Amino acid sequence: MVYDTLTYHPTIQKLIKFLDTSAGREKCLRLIQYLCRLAAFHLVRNGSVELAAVVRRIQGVVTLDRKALRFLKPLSHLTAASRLYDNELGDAYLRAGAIVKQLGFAAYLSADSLQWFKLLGLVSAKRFPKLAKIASGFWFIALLGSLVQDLRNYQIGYAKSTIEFNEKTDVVEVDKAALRQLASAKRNLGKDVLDALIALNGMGALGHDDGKIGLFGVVTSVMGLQDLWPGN
Amino acid sequence: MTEDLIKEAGALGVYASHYLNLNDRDRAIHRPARQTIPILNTPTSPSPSPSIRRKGNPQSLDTSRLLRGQMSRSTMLIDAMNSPLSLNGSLREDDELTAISAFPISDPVLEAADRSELPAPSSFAILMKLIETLAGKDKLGKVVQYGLRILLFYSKRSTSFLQRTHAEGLKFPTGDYKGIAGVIMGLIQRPEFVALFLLKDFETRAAGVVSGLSMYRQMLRCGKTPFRLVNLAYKLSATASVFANKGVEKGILNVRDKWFTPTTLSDLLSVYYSIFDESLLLFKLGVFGDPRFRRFAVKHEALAWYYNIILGLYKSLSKLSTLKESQNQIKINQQVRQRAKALMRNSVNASSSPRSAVTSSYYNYQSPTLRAVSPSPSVRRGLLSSAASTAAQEEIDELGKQIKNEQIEILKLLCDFVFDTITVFELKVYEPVHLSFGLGAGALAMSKVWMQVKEDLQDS
Repeated sequence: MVYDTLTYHPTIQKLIKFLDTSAGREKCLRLIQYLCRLAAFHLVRNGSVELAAVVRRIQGVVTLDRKALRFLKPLSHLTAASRLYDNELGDAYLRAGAIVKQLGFAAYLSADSLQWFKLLGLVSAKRFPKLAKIASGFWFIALLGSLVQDLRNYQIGYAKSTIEFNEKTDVVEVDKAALRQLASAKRNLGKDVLDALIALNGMGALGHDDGKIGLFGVVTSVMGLQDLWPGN
Repeated sequence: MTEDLIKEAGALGVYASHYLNLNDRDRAIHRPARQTIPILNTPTSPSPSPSIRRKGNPQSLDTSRLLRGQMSRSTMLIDAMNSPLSLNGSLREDDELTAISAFPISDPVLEAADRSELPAPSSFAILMKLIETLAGKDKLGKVVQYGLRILLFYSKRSTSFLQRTHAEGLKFPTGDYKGIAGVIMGLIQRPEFVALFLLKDFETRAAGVVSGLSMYRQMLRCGKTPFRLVNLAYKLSATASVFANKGVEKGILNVRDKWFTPTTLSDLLSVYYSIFDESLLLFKLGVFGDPRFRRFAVKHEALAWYYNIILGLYKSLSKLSTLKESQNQIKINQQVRQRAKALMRNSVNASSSPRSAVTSSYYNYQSPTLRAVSPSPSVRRGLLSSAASTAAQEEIDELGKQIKNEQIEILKLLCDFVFDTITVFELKVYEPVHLSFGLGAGALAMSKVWMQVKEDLQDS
């Protein structure tokens, strides 16, 4: 029946399941947050100030709720960093990058939780005035670690993906797994560069407007959703 | 030493995976040894010690079963023959029958033993896992939200009491001192100011947290209305197509079979609730602004929740009744099995006892009733198999867990029911009593998620 086909369609079931996961919902909210930022910027430019205020309010609520969703997450990043430190068997560059990334995220999310307490009124809004910039700094450090990983993966993928001509079979052989690794490294590199630009802007090092930052955020959020979707 | 090997191998880049696996195996080998191992080395031990013969808790590790399972069949049979069993077939044979179950022990027993040997996950690990789930976040948020609302009520009452009773002297007495010394002296002279200051501070902070948590919980719930609407729309179109293609009679039958069911009612009520719940979220976000629609949404959100609770109670009570029935059936089956075992055990004892020819012939005589219950060898093996009784016990335990879960669910729904009854009928109830039902419902729901997470951690 049409009803059964659509209601029990794997994609719809997967979407419902995806929204029921913490990470899936967090990524969706991130996309909404950056979409609101982008939309609010263009609405103000076009003169729709009232609508822009509503969109900004939605952005504020979503930002607050994302912080709640990430509460206590630093613990899992610290655990991951400790495990990576103990594992001495992997590639040294990848390991170092991963440790920096995990520690950076742990520090970033701790600062983020403090920021959440400020927004809730648990901590006075006047205290830690530079907290948002410090949090962005930790995020940037985490992204640097991630960039090291991406570059190393790119190097490894590039070294492996040599095209060889097999004389016996007269066929050009390509290592498909290495090519996939190379493509994945390129994709992650692009995503991390865009996120790094957002983090640098948060630190006050760049002067990008909300339009550009919103766009970067939307792109990286969609890429993040694409990364999560298959594993759901 | 193993770690050194791994490091060395890792440094050299040789056999890394081999050493990793070895490390895993090594760790597995060095787990606490089972109690069976030392006793296995003494297979000629005449009979299991009294501690082994004890009636064990079905959920705990039954060492005697393991022991007997590992011992040779002949040794165990001799052991069983030597053990006296009352002729009235009383269920004291629990131990004895376990002894007879010296036939090759099955995997379920070992699996059960393995499971009971696993260390219970720590509360911290459970909390970490609980926070990773959406349900855990939501329930934890609910407990904190209602707990804070109760505290806020008492804080506001205390603040107003202090302000009312000390209204005439709310001027801060600094005396002859100035600056910090004046503040300290003032606080010493009028300690109620400390309480007032702390309570006011708490109110300011907690009010923000309560509203933030309320919005956060709504955000966690939102987004399901479109799927529910699509689901209902397709169900409707399917019924319409039956009417169009197969006639009115078939259509009415379809309506009766597909629409007058608890599932459809549940779907409809879920849509009803989620529409108004998400409308209220949109009000909070500033997307909607009509106050009349807001009042309408508030009223219908409470009503929809009320109907959902009643339906939930009906479903839970039905499920509880079914589960209890299933558990009783298995228990009765188990008792029948045990009685059959006892009868067989009696017949075995009677035939093997060293008696005179006269008594022997007397005892060897089987009454028609006993002959009727004498099963074939394969059925006898089935009856005596400890695997069957372990599986039944496991099933009873599993049903017991489900019954406990359902009882918690019913209690939670009752708390919700009382809470929402007060809201729907606008009853005048002392506010902390009203809120404590919300807190109770949240705590019960969280305990359910906690148990689920704990079980998942134990299984993984």
